[in-house]
Amino acid sequence: MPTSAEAPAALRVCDLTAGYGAGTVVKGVSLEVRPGERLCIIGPNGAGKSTLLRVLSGLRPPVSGTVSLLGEDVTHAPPDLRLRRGLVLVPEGRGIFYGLTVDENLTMGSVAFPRTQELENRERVLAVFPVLRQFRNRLAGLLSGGQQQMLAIARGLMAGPRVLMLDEPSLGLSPQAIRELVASLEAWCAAYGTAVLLVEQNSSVALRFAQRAYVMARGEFVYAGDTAAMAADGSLLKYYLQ
Amino acid sequence: MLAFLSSLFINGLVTGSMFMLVALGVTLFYGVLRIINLAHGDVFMVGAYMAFYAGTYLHLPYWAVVIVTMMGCAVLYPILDLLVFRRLRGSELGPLITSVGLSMALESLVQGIFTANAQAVPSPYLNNLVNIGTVSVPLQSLLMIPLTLVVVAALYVFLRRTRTGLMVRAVAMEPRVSQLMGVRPEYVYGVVFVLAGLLVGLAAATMAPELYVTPTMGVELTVDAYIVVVIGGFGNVEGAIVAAFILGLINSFVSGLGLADWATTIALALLVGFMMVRPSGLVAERLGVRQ
Amino acid sequence: MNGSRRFLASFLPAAALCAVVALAALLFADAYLAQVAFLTGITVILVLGESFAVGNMGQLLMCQAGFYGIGAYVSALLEMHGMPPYLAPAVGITCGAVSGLVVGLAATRIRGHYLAIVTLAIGVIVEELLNNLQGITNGPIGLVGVPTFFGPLNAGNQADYIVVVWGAVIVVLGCLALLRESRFGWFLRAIRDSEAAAESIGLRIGTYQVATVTVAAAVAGLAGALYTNYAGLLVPDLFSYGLSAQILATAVLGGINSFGGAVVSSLVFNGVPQMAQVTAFYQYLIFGVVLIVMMQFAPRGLSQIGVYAVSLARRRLLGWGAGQPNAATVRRP
Repeated sequence: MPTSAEAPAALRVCDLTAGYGAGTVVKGVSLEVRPGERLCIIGPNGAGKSTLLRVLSGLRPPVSGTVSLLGEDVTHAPPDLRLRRGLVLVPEGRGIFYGLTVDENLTMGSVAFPRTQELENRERVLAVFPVLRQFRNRLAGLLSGGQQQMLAIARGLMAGPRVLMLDEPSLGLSPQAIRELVASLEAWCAAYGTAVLLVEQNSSVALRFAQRAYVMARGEFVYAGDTAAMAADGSLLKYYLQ
Repeated sequence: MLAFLSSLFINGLVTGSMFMLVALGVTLFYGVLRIINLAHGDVFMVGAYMAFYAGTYLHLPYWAVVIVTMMGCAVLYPILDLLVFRRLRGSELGPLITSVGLSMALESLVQGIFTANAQAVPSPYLNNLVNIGTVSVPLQSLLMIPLTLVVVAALYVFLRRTRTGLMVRAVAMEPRVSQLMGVRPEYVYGVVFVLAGLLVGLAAATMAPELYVTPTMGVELTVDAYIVVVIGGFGNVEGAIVAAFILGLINSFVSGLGLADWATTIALALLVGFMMVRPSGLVAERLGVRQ
Repeated sequence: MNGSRRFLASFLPAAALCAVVALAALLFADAYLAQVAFLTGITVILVLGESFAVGNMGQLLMCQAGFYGIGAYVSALLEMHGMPPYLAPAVGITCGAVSGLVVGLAATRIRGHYLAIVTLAIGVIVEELLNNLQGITNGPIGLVGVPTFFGPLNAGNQADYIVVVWGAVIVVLGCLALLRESRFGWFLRAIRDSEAAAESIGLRIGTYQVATVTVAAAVAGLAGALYTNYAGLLVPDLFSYGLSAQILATAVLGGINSFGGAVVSSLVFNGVPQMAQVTAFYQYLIFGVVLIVMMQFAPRGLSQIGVYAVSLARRRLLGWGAGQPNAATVRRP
């Protein structure tokens, strides 16, 4: 992999191990997200994908291994520090604040940053997700599933991330909603060069969106490569059937 | 008759204001930290002694007594949190048990310093009677109502219009997700303890002149605060405001019927009834919608 | 370990400790110490009931003083209307059990924080009723001239009082240990550890909660009946929320669900201060501070410290048991 002093990897994970109690769920995983790259991790239920993201976001401590963000070690940094350095997780199941309005949810996304950044980012985000503009004062709990997922991602973007991590954003959405979501996200990435780390069970969506993919099974990466090659290679299916 | 009823009504509003200031802290604790704090009334008691000390020994003017008491409680509470509750974050019944210990410790400490004798807090407004129609009420009592309205409005603006208030509401709803937004939960918890201290300090400074200040006065108030919080719904700020006035009016009118001894029993029966029939309280939950 | 060995393991050490305390009181106590010994016995009974309920149910009961008061007042009133004193224990147990049943049924679906608050309220309601039902309870002045087992405590009858109360302690210990090691106790702990799992194997959570509250209340009722027949005088203040708080505190300090811990903690935090004639003020202060400190560093109470001390002693002095997991670190309540 080409790494140079001028452009360190946006996110680099080395030999990361994590788990709950005695059980190891993530076993010595290494990966690299380059600046502006769209990367996905696909794999079956229980492969350890969500646990990996929780560790990367700082919600769970790793057992061993290192995580570095833009060349800085953040292995033991608390979640708020990672966020300020540009690593943002949009959690599984959206995790939006149902009792807050759309606008308040967006504000929460940039609450760790100065207010000037909030105003600037809000305009940018609403430009990419114009649907949210018409519901700015509505309670988030009253939005449709697709709109809630848009809100969750928009709230993540409010922090102006260098690396955006998405956990199963397509879960429970209609194909139409997924298409809109992907289009908005692609527009954002094209405009601001944000790197995306997408974790999905829905491999067809993930492979179309990402440039590179890792396949995760039983806590390990069992395959890595360009998505174009992968989509052509039918052997991918077998990792799901193991 | 009308005069009698309206005096009961005003009395109920005054009592309700005090209940509200005390219960708001309790409901914030539950909404944001998910803890039951049975020492809250005892912090009121400590506040009342602060007011007593500031007024009687330091000879401060009354407005300064109010400010000193509010500040004192707002400083005291985060310290108590650090000493008593912080290590038990996430435990369900642990903080409840330590708060029982805290209540005992505060009561006996204050008794050690000020003895168990009842004390009186001086206030220039105590003997100032105001005539409203045919009813005359001490200015001290009347002071409570506008002060409480101002404080509630300020709290509302804080929670609804400021970023820190937004963080408080967000942590109440989804603490883990809030952390992902870069909110440090301990910061929000600290804000809640300061707020609870300010509110209870104001209640103590304004109510203490009308009460006998004793080391054991807090227990009863803790019970009243929990009655309010149960009726209003645990963690529900709007519910607590409504319920406090309902309870204040019930208290006042039951006493007016000559059944003062039964006021607490009736209120407690209401608590048990609400718990059995409608544990979510009168008003649908807003602040803490976490299941 | 099979059931009967478990029973003996939880019953014998605590019972032996009680027997030693009773024996010491019988041999050495003067009139004042006999009074302390009697009252400490009452405390032990109250704390055992609380410790059993909290430990096995995983819920806080904050109205032991209320059940205690009901047992005391009902047996006192019946005796004042001619019931012979030796029936008092049965009456106390029955009254406690009935009131526990009523509370339990009212709170069948209430758990956790909410149950703690509801029981706190019920405890205060009982105290208020004792004050307000003046026609029956004589209000704040209280009941005077209640018959007693052996007359006012004196050098001649102090041994009788000590035997009665500590005998009752040992009987209560036996019953609670039996319950704890029976299927009933087993199911209770299953519910405590996972309501969902217990429900999925068909346990009715509400029923078990009602039963446990009833048991704790019956034990407190017995304590009330015994107290009445010793004191001959009852006032509502004896049964205040403060007492419930102290009972809970003593149970927690001893280590929830540890019978030996309950006995030791009652002795240390109630018996010894009274023996040393520490004023109620210092007793309360020590209580509060120790409770706070204990919850920070050893939330499972004296029993946790005991287990830790024993395992440390084994490792240091005897060099065995090093491989065993430290029971104190296994589970936090």
